Amino acid sequence: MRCKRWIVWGAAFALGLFAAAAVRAATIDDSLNKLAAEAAKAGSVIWYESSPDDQAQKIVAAFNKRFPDVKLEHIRDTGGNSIGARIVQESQGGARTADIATVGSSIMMPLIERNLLAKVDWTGLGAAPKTVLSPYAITCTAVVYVIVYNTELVKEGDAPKNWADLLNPRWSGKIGVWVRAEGQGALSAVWGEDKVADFIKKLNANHPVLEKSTFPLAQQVAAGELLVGLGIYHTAQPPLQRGAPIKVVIPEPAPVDMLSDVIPAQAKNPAGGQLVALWLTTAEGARAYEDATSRGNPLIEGTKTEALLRGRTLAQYPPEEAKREAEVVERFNKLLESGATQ
Amino acid sequence: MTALPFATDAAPLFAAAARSRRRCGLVPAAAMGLLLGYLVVVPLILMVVSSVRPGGFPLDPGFTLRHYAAAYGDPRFWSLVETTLLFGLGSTVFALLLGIGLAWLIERSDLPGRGVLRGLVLLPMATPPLLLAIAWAMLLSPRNGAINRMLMDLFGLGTAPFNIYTVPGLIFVQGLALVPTAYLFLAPAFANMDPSLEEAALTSGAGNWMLIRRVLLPILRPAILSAAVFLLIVTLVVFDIPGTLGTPGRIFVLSTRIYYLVSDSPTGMPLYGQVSALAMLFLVLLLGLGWSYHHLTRAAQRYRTVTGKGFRPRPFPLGRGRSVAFAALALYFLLSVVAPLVMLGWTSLMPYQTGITAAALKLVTLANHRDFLGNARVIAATEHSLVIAVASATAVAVLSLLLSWLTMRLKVPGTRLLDALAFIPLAIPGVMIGVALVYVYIALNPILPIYGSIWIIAVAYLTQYLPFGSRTTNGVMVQIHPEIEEAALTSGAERGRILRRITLPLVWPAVAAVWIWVAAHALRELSSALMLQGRNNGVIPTLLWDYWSGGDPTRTAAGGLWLTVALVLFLALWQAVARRAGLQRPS
Repeated sequence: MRCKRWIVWGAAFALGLFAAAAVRAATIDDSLNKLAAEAAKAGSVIWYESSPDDQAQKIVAAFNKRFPDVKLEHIRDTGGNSIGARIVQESQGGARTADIATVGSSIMMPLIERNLLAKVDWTGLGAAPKTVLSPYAITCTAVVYVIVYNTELVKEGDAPKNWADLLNPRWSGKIGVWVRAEGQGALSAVWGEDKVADFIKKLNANHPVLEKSTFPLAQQVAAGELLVGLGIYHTAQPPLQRGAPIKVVIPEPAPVDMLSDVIPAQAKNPAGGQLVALWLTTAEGARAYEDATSRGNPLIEGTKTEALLRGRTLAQYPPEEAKREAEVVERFNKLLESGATQ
Repeated sequence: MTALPFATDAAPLFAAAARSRRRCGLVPAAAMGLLLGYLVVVPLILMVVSSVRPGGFPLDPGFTLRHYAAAYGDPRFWSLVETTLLFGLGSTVFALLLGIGLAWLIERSDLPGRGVLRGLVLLPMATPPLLLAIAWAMLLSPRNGAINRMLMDLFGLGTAPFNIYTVPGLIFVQGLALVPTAYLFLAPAFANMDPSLEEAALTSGAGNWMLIRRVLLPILRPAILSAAVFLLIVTLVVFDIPGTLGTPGRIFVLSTRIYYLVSDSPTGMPLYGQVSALAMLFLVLLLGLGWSYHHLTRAAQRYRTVTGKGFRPRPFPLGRGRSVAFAALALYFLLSVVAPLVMLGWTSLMPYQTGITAAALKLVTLANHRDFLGNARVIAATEHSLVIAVASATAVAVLSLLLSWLTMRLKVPGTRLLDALAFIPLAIPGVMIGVALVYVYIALNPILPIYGSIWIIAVAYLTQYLPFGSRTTNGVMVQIHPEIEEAALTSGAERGRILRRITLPLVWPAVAAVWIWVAAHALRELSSALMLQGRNNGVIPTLLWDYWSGGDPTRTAAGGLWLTVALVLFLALWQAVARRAGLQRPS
């Protein structure tokens, strides 16, 4: 009898979940259709984002397959801080700026402080609550920090598997790290600032080679110039996909920087911007983005990134602590640059 | 020195001519002042304003001096200055020495094939500095560099003999990259030297060393100083080579600090305030060097070698030294052109970046070249690049010529100010010129809608490259005695006709050098093009950057190689046109 009751309750719960998902799907589909109709009337949608054009065009093609009447124009900004600066200047000058921009918390927060971002009721539009960071931002993708090593020059058994392995003197002078300590900064959200600072000092004893970007870092590991590198998952993919002898290991905890979509307050086609942002949180949009760029949204089920990070401890700062994170990263940058071991 | 003494009865005529000259120059000088104000003063003012704005953006509210405190109070600042000066002075001296040697060999010796050599010496300009740095890293990295590995295998060495990630390594690569610039500064001065001076010295019993020390170097002083000042400032602000080769070895200079403040600062916004504050140091340095230059070359008449007396440059016979000269030239081409291009070529044939090994031969593929040439964006980017290069090169050449004519020949009021204004952009980091142009053209958009188009990039290059243009034409104008133009004026020729028929043919080598230098640099310049990138103004360097920053160095290498090929064709075409038009001296 009791068992029967459990079955009934279980079925009801499952049905409830299914109904909620169906309602959300219906809501999000309705929202997408309404936004698409509105966006098509307002002209093209300008999207500032950092992926190379070839990759971005694949996302645009997938978007246009679903929304053929909306013209999406991707403008590649080189990441770093230039996307935020461009929005500030264009907004101050009253020029046309982006309708949607994909940025990290460190860029988003100064834009919010300058009142340059629009608030959107993302959940009201049907977005899954876990993807909504704030009224200003909805998650799009994540930068995942990883260990990369050369499989021809490093035996499987000797390969580094976690943070402590990177301190092994065997990598002295043959380990590369990004000159920006963003990954170490995110790591401090779990480890604490002092423990990470101590780790960097010990790493400095291994004379790490500093690289301007993690793209060349992965290439240097592929070329055998470096044996091991502390890089980023998606920047290791180009050589990996071309058959380079490298392998990626996700350390525990795994530092992550979430990138979000924001709608500038002066967007000429805000409906278009919201349409793109919302579509990127659907299974279809998230997969299109991940397939094109190799970086995906760990909050969307069905993405490879979600599968990759499932069950792992993610090290990341909440967006509202962006300033604190910036101070920590600045401190770690100085430590890396100085090569200090004490 | 060789100026013809003025005939006593002609002196009043020349004095009247000089007065008339100054009067006639007032209107064009005012127009030039306005143009320079627009091109230079506006970015300069915005940079100064940016340095005192709390948010760092020129239109932000408030006032602060904290950016100066942050920039100059940083404990690492003096160490950065020291490394920067070491790197800058080393690269400048290296480039100057090679530039002087090449200019002398090509312009003054009897070396055969000088027409071809002139083109070859400019070839390194075709390789973007970023690719040059990457190529040298692959050749001389202490861990896996191809040359190091070859030498270690050959001589059984335990450690790599060379390390490119050191200050001397940086100086070597930066110096090589700057040799064509040094050559273009110096070649016209060498070409315009009156051989009678050397003959007079030699017949008076002077030895070679005395000839160099007492005759050649003093005559060439304006051109050499001009080149030295220009190169020194350039080396203080360049980023690509010190950024790529310095970072792995923890060698940081002021330009890498500026890059950090703009792109890598974890605050999420470029720290334009600190960048502008640091740029003030460049500005002060530049004005100081500019003043020193004027001070050292103030007796302009001492450097006039082109006078009313006709001369034909006499080539210096090299004799048996010819083979040594050829060997030296071959070594230069090997280091500056062949070695980096071989590495680029190799990389372009690989699916991913890898060293030169027999095992890697099985990976050879033409996919990168196919991808690059098959990319629809390449055609549009090439078209944009060519239009921008031709437009900015022509504008800089014309403006530089007019500026030199106004300031050095007509000596209009405000000469020094005009000259200084033309030199100042050298001290303004390209990124700040970009910031200023964004504001200016957003404001002007209703009447001049060039924001986001290729023309805003052309304007940026016009501002950025004006210092090179004006220095080069000034260096040659100082050598030309005004008596030639004055003689034409007293014979009734109009001023425009004098400029067209007398001055221009005499300064043509310098104007042509300016044109080709600007065109070549505009074809490969990246930072401003990135900053001003819009929906439809992509150029070849931004396309290559797109590949590079997207983790595709092999396709970048393929594109870089094709850019080099295009530039070689461009140079060949330029030489052929110049020769056909009779505007280049026969070799």
